[in-house]
Amino acid sequence: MNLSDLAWGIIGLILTVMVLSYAIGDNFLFRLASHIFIGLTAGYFLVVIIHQIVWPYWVTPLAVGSWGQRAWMIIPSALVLLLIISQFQKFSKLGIIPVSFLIGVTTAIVIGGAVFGTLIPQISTIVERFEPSAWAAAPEQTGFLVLDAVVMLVGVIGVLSFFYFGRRKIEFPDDDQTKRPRFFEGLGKIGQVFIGVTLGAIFAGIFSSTLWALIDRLSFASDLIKGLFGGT
Amino acid sequence: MTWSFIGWILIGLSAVLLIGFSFFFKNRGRYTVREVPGIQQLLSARAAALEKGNKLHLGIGQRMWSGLYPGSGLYSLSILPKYLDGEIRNSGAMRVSSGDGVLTVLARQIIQNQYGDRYSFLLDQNPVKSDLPAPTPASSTAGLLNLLSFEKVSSLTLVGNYGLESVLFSEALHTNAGAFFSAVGNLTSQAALYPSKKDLLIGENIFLLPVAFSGKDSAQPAWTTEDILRIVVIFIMVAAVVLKLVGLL
Amino acid sequence: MKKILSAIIIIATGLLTLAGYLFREALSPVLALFTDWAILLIGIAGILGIGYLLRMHILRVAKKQKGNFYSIFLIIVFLLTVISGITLSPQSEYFKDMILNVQIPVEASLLGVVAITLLYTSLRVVRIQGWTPLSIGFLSSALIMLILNSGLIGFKPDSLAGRIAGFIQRMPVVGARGILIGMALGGLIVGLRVLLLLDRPLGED
Repeated sequence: MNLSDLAWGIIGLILTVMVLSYAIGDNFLFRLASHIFIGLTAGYFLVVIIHQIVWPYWVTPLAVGSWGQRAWMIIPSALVLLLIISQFQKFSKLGIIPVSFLIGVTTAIVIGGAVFGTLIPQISTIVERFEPSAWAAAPEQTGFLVLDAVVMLVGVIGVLSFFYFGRRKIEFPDDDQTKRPRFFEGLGKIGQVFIGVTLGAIFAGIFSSTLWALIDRLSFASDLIKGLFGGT
Repeated sequence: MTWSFIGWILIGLSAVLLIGFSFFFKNRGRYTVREVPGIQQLLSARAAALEKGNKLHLGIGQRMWSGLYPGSGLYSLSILPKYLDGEIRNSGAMRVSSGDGVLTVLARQIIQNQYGDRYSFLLDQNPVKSDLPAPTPASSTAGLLNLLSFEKVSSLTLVGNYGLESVLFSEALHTNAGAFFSAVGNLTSQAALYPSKKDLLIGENIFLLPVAFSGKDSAQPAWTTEDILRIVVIFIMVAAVVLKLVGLL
Repeated sequence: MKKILSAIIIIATGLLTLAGYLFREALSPVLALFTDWAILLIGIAGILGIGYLLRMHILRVAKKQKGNFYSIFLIIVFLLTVISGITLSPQSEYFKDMILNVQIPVEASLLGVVAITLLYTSLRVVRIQGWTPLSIGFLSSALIMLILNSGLIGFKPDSLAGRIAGFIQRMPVVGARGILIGMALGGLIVGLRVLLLLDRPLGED
């Protein structure tokens, strides 16, 4: 281990102890470590934005681009300037232009992403599981494949029913107002189990991965201390 | 008919339904949505905090864009003006934070628009502020934990995109006997919070959040359209499966 | 005027970008232009966000508010990082070392704190949620997945037990697909409401 590795190792060890101390409650060490971390991240983020966004997307085309390229930079430059000026209280209303542009683009990305990035791929994957030729290709597994496909379809319909927003018609004021119409309430019960199974599995996954991170930190600390004090 | 074509049909149908129901509900009738216990809890926690003169904190997400949950960033921004009712605007008893510069800048613009011309006056008094505790999700977790502790926040509501770190915020509020409410769209956050948070808003239920706000009637066309779309999607799946089984797809 | 201008910009940029999904080739130059502008604006918004962050900490120091001691450290580390980044360039090995040797221990330790928190919050699950189909599903799935993923029990993939284990491991995907489809429906409605001006996130109704 060279001197630089040793120095970074010790800094890493100190930061690890400081952050882990939060497990026993909010304290001076955690606050100090987190402020150092935030300062570093903010500084890094700023440098990266300047190098990877401001320079190539704004400064370079304006400084060394052709006249055509420069002309095309008028609109984004105006948007940028308006966004910056709008930070001053007096000119805050000017921010509406760049902000509306960002919201317009975001809206389209949201709609496109929801339909073509999630909805359609998810539905088509469910339907593809009912491909008879795929079932026939693996005769020893056909039972499982059919079961898999049916459970998938019923489960997804159940989950969608669980989230049905409409309320069942109530006859008396003290009737349960959290109930869906009977058809969706019934299917929703099946969906509820699948939602529980999904959340449970994700919980198990995040618990395992965070536990590994903790073990990794503890073993790093133990190795470094052993290295420093010559233990085995 | 391709899947992409079906996608465009869904977009068109949703647009038509949204416009149609917007006109329909303006004149008559209403769509009654079921009660969600978690939302009632948010209302009482908010009222209790304001009564005691405590500050509310609204977290609008660690990032604006997400591939898996495309609408969550925009949704958290659309919730913000509804959350900022007259009482909160006048008392300034709220702070908005996020882990993304874009969200913070947009939130600031929304807050300024909510104040309108009164903003310049209230800015010097005690307006609602939009802050960036830190610029990345991990550093923002540390930043928000510090903010909760320094400002002794007694009511925290999270909307938008948060991950497993939500459990740290929930426990920080639990330790300070504060109220924590989550309408986060992210499955990881929901899984992390489920063991410790009763009446957690899960999955699509987050879109029922406007029930809690004064302008809730404006969300009725959305809820009706979403329920109809849900039935349409179920129908498309079943029909496509049948066509697949008979070899027509 | 402000309202109309905002509406025109949202609809024009939104529809043009959305049309790009349909007429990808014809609209690709416009989309590329919009994307570049949006990236630049996002970058500038990121810088402004850092400005808010610094302003908050500078004010905390100036007004001697609670936590001002920590804010001094934050500002110093921020300045050191920016100066190193500009003088060394972000690609420099030394600069990368400096960032990673702080980032990795802090982020991994934060995950460690999450692990400890998850461990004790999980003990409350039945008390908090009671026995419902959802909580039973949650508990049984979490336990089974922890056991299966731990690798303590090994199954041959072709054996009946292996197939059953595979089937069980695929079960969480069912709920996830359902939830994601639902979230996409919600996202679609949120986006369309903004595009059709039925909802104004800028709040100027």
